[in-house]
Amino acid sequence: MSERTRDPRTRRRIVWTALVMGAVALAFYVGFILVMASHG
Amino acid sequence: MSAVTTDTDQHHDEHGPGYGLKRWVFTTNHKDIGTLYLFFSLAMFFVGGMMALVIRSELFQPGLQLVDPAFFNQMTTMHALVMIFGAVMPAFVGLANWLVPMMIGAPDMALPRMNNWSFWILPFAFAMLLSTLFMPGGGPAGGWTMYPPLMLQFGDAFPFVIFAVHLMGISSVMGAINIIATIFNLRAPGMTLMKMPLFVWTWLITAYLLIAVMPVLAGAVTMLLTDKFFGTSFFSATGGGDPVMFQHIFWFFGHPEVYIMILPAFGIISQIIPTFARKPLFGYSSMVYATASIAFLSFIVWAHHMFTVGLPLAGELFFMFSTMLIAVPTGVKVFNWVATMWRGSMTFETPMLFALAFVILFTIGGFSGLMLAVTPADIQYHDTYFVVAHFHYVLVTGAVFAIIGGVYYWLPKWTGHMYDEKLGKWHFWLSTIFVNVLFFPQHFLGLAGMPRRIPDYSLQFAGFNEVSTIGAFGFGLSQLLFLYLVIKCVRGGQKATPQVWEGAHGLEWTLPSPAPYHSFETQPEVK
Repeated sequence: MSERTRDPRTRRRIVWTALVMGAVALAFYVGFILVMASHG
Repeated sequence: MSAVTTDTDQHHDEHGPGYGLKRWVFTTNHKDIGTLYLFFSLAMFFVGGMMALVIRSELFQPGLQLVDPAFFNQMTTMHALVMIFGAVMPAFVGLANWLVPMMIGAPDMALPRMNNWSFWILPFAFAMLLSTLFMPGGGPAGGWTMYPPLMLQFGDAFPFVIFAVHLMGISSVMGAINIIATIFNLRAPGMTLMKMPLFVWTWLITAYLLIAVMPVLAGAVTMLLTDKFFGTSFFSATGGGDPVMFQHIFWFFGHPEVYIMILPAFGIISQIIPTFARKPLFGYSSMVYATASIAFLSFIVWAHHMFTVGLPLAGELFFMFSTMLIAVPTGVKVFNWVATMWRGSMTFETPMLFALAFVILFTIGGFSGLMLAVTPADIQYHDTYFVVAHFHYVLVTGAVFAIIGGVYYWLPKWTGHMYDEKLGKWHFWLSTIFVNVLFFPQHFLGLAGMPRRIPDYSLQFAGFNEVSTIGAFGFGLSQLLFLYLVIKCVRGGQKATPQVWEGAHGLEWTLPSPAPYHSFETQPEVK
């Protein structure tokens, strides 16, 4: 582990990047099925 | 987050690789996980290759010889699923794992535990997928596109295939998140976005494509599942649904998926050519913008796969022209690769040979794609061997050749040994000759009207099919040479220098060969 990954600010940014990207993927998945279902 | 304890971290610094099986199961090291991905991909390449040889053996002569038609259909379907999701995509993720942290000066991937999980999902997904071949009714046989109602008609394997596809999607999305988090948060000081190596850029854009489209595939197959087991009618006309809607959804995923499999290949070629031409890459920023343009266009061309379903004329025109537009940024890339070589001090080591073959043969695949984009012509070519020839030129002489070239290029950095150059050249020439013997005649078969996905055909197609099958066995056997070469290089050989190649530039070449278990514990500075 390097200085950079020990840095709490970098760690927070990594977690937030992952959470946002994960939320986008999940929203696409659920949202897409819901849109299809509501137009069925 | 503020409760980070330095003591634990310093203790962690002393960790080297674990021992035995535990090292590989529990590893969070980007190089170990990269190696796992690459060996998994190689194994799947041979599994998918065996399926291709079953297909080509059956097609050696007209009439039914070796397998029954139902099994033939399972082979075509599984060959595609295994090669796309099991061989090509994991190979690129493996290369990204090995190279992205080293290229940007990072110590590891940003989320190492998730990285481990991303990989270890895959063997379970593929064990499940391949096990369907032994179930009552056999494996999936409706093509990798999984169109309903055909997909809904086969036996016990259906839910297993759907679950396996979900797992592959989860693995890919987690891998993509990791790559984005790594590139945005762990670049060395001075490594601005526009200084990143092209391989990193192409992977960053690919990661966004994955996050955008893998959920769409997952959504589509979830809807197939609910149609089959929970009484919904998304794609069933009898319940008010529309089977053609599935095709739209599938190809909204499927076309970006094609670029997911080719953009990292562009990145690899953009690393190899400057090294062996001993010149910086021509038009770096135009390469970045061309990659982004291709990614954008990939979302607005999907219905060119569906010209024969009866689209409105305006739709056919739109998708024809938007598809043709892709030739512009792709042409920029090919021009830049050629311009990089122009007046360079070129040498022709094995990675460069594969890169050169890529530029020529991928372009052939691109041109046949342009032919298929022409709507009236596509109505003639649709579902013929011309399409098979087209996408195999793009995916085999494109994606697979780039992967193999990349493996030769970075193998000395990974293992610390030079590979056997003479055998590498043999592997290149045998692969290049046989791959053309295999796929080029398929253009003629398609133009003459031979349909794809059939175990039997009319007598007039016999000659070219024989040639194609001979090419398939030649190409397949040549890959055993690659396997031998890789094993030989891992076990020993001439010691590699840190820079390995005289013309190589970039942070990964500043590390010793083999690269240490923990790279860049002290951050490099990029000027």
